[in-house]
Amino acid sequence: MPDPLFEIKGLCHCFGAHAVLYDLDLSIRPGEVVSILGPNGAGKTTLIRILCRLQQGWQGEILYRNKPLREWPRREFARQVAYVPQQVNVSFSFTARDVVLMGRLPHQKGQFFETAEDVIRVREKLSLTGALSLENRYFHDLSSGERQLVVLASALAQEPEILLLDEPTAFLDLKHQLEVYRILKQQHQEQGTTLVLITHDLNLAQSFSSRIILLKAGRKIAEVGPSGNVPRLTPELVSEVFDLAAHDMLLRDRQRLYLSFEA
Amino acid sequence: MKISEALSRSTFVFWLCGSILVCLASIVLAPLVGPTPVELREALFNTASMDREILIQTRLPRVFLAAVTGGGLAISGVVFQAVLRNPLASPFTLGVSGGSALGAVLAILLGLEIHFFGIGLLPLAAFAGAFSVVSLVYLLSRSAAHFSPLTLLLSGVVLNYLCAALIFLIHYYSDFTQSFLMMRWMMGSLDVLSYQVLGNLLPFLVIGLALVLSGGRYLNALSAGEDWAGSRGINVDRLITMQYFGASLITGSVIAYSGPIGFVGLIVPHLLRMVAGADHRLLLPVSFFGGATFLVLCDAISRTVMAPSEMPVGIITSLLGGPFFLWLLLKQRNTVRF
Repeated sequence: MPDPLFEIKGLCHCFGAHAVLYDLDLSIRPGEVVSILGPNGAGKTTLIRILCRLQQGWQGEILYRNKPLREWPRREFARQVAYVPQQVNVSFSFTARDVVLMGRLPHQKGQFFETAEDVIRVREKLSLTGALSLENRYFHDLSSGERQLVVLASALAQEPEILLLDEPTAFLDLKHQLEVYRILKQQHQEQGTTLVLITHDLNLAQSFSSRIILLKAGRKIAEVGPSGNVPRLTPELVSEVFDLAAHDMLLRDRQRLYLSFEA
Repeated sequence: MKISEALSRSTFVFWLCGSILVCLASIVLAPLVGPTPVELREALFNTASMDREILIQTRLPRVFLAAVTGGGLAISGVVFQAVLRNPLASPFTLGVSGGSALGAVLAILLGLEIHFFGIGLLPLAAFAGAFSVVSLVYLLSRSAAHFSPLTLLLSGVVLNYLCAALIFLIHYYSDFTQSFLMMRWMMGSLDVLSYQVLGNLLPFLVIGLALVLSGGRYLNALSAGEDWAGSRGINVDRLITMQYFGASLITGSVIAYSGPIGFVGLIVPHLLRMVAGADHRLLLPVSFFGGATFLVLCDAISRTVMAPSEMPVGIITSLLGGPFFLWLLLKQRNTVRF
């Protein structure tokens, strides 16, 4: 088995007296697609932000490629790990292309102007996400769906080994949701990019990911998947994590779990 | 809709050289304007002439001071707008003006005569006041390991009011002469006069500009939020700290001599953002030269509009700036953001 990208041991994070994450162990191996599932306030976003080094003040041990997270030079780390939030707002009139160009920052060695390579990569990633026609439009004039395609292009322009996504489709319509996941799947299959994503979509988590991490109140409840300690999602597990009644769920074909609105 | 390109070398050179040329032109032409007409030929070739005396000793240092003041206020405006991610922020939003006015008013109350290494007590006190308030605002907005622009904005506004209250209190206990001097200082004006002042300003300006200009590329990424910038390998805390103190150094030192001259840091960045684009690599230097031009022209108006007496330039910039600001707000209601 290859060395893990992220190796997390005994991770704790507190806001005041309240523990957001408690004694969390987790490892993420190259080429995996990991979904993080759990109720609001379970610590999912905090976990992702800590892994992206956007959240300070945690305790425990986190290694990225066998090197402590805090010892990574920032720019070098940003060439390895990219982050896609739920939503991005850009102040001032920057075009979609400007926004994607920001993803090239970790690759620029302090030069003032973009290089030809940067410009080529930007166009390449924009066409990859199907957003090339938006390149000269102002970011703040785009719809949420279009914006997220541009944001994704910007993260891909960092050419990362691993993408961490915090509910990337939370504000998108069905078509754009599907589009985002097709792009991610393609990126995973063709480039071998490792994906870690927070989602509330049971269907997506089960069909898309190789492992599902269930979080509740800052603790890991289970790892679901071929390599985890539980082979598949069970109604008991989901009702425990989300405080649902068992009849809220349906098991289809003895395989996939769906939410039921019929009860 | 305007189609904007990513910043190319030719765009950059065009705007930068253009703004420098316009600025130089204003610096050359403005000294010729004033209550007393100046014969350029006389001034240049007759070393003993009165024209030369007025031009070189009175008008020129004043025009230079107007240029660095306007430039400094405008470039600081760009920085504060970028750091707070708010196009309506200005150098005075964060308590710089309140702090410097408090310092100046205290100095006037205690007497003006003392000099310190060739720098008068008044500008020194104004600078100290500005910097204490700015540092206090900074410390207030820093929590454990994080930096919040919103707290920065709020503590700046609150401290501005606090300073205003203290200024009223000092006003209340001062005599008529002092009171007049205080009012006059707070209106903002450029009628200081010597090359010595420019020499005093220079080191502060150079350090401040170097700090601010070094971060232009990263300010672009900050426009999409701190997380966005942070996940692109930028040390956001250090960036904000450097930009904030660089801009405060510039603002604090120029208004120590000129007094708070309003709206320059608001109008100039906005106009230039509309025509030259939002890219901070370009916007920062172009705003400096644009602001310089703007204040040099406003100062020329202030010397002539009520000749032979003079209208404080702060009143002119505010009379131009107020309506402009309202127009921006109205415009913002219809379009999205700019």
